[in-house]
Amino acid sequence: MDQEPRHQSPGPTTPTDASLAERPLVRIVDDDPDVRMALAELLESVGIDAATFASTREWLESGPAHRPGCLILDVRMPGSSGLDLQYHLARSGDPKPIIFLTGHGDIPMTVQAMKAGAVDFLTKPVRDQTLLDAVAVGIERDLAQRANANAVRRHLDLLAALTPRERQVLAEVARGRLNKQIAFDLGISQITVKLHRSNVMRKMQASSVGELIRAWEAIPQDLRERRP
Amino acid sequence: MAWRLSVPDPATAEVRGDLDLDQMARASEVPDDHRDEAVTETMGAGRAGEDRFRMLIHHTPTPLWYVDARGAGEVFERLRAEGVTDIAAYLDVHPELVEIAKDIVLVTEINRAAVALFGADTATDLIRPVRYLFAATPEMAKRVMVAHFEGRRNYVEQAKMATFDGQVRDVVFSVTYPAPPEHLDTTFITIEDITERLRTEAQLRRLQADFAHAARVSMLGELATSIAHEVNQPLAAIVTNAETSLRWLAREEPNLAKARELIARVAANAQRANDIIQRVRSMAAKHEPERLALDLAEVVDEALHFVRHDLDARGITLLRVDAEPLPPVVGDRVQLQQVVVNLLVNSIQAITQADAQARRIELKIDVDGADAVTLSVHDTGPGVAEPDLDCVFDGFFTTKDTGMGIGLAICQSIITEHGGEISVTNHPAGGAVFRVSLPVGEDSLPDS
Repeated sequence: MDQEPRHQSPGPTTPTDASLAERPLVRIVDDDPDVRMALAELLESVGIDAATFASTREWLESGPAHRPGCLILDVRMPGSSGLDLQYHLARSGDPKPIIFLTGHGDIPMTVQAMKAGAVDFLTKPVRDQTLLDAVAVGIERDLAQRANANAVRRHLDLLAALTPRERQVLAEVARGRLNKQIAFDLGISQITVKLHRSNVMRKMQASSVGELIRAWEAIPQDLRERRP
Repeated sequence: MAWRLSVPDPATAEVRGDLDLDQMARASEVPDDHRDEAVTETMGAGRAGEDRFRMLIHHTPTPLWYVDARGAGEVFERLRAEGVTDIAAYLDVHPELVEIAKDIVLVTEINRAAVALFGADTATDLIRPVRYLFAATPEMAKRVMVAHFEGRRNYVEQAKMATFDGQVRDVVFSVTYPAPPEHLDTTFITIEDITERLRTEAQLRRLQADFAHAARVSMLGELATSIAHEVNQPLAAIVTNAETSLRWLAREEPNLAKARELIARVAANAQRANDIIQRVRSMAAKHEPERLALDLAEVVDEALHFVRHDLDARGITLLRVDAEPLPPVVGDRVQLQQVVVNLLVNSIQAITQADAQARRIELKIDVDGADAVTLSVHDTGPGVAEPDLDCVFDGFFTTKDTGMGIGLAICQSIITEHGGEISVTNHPAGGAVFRVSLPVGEDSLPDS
């Protein structure tokens, strides 16, 4: 037997300094108790917390996940199929990365799942490293999503402090318009535009125009238009 | 009064028999299985009638023996006088008495059919002590004597008969005793040859079993995906548990406790996979149908392994209600599993084909009185079209695009073979209800 450790715990999944709430949790939904128990053991052997559920209903009833992580789903589960669940999740605003695990993944099913944003579509029996790699990707993707969501939330808070006129100027700047064009469009002087602009930069805590535009664009379209 | 039979037929010209006609007439006055009123009347009509009656007996196609059992009667009288009441126990202690009876009870007359049955050259070969009637089933003699002693009018037993041409035939051996205080020289024995019937029945059973087997193999083919999935689950658990235990062992400080725990699960899942394969193998195997006492709930449990994946994959919920306790039914485990699988597959297809909104199968096992267990399968499919209700169990009847139409025919054939019934109705709330009723039983049926 190979005496070398074959697998290092993925870095981001074992943040020793993070609070429990920031520790990744992988949730496994499979109707076969032996299979879900085996998967949980595998994850725990590399230091990843796992929770198991016998059905999608059981999982949904457990409430939303506040911890980062991903889902491992058997597509052929009684109750609600994995693909239905993926659709449901995507619409519910809790877009946890999903790793599909199936006894017989047919191609249309795989394509559908991947298009809908699945991390991977794996066939049972799955090799340990294959699954752990997918889990690492899933967790990283979720962490990135969460970081992005946090940034958006922060930008929205900052945006709320802008006056309507400042918001107008910001939208124009983001469109790449020059100060004199903005002044002409809004019927104000260029000096006033410059004044608004520096206020916007300060309120949005942006150190450059590039940063300001990125923050603006990170905010979903419908939220940008909303008046405070 | 002596009577001598003389008929022109050369084949039976040698038949000789002495019979007391007065005795015959007396015997005919009491109701007797072998005589109807017409015959009695004929006999009352005098000598010509008596002759006709004799001719009728002689030519009747049932092999018939007239036996003089007075010798046995005398022995019985003596035993009663000695205070014997349990004759069976007495004969167990004195088996020699049975042997004596075989020699002192005499055949006095036989008919043509009896001669033919025994392949005898002449009728006189059969006019002798009854011993030869018990050659192939010797222990039957005791039971015949017990019934006689106990004053019963009839005794019937399925037995084997060694004939003079060296064959052993299967027969139904019936004795009709005269009621005391009549003389005991008019005991009748009829022997019906059922060898051909049994052979035909055995052949039919074999054909039925072959047919059921062929259908089973074809059914397994259709369920291949489902079965593969069933085996794949424990394999998935085995692979993951084994790899995880390797990880624990590969650590700087190997976690042996964890590895041991996981390896135990590997073994359990390997066993689980093996169980599934055994179930498939017994389904695929050709075997002589057995008759064992079975718990129908267990049969259903096993059958469900074959269709569980199909149910899940098509989003069909199975509701199951078992009455408890269930008396056992007698039958062939694999064939009854086959019936359950067929009925479930049928329901799954009905629901799928109709793309029904409600996707549910209700499986109920119930007790029907003291002597039957029922299984009903109610689906939320479209039900059976009214004109088709009478022919769903016919072979090659199908309303499906891909069906052969043998599933339900096989169900009926198996259930009938088990002495049960199968029927279909449409539920008032929609969907078809298939109902199987099987007789309750403990013992194996005699295997022929």
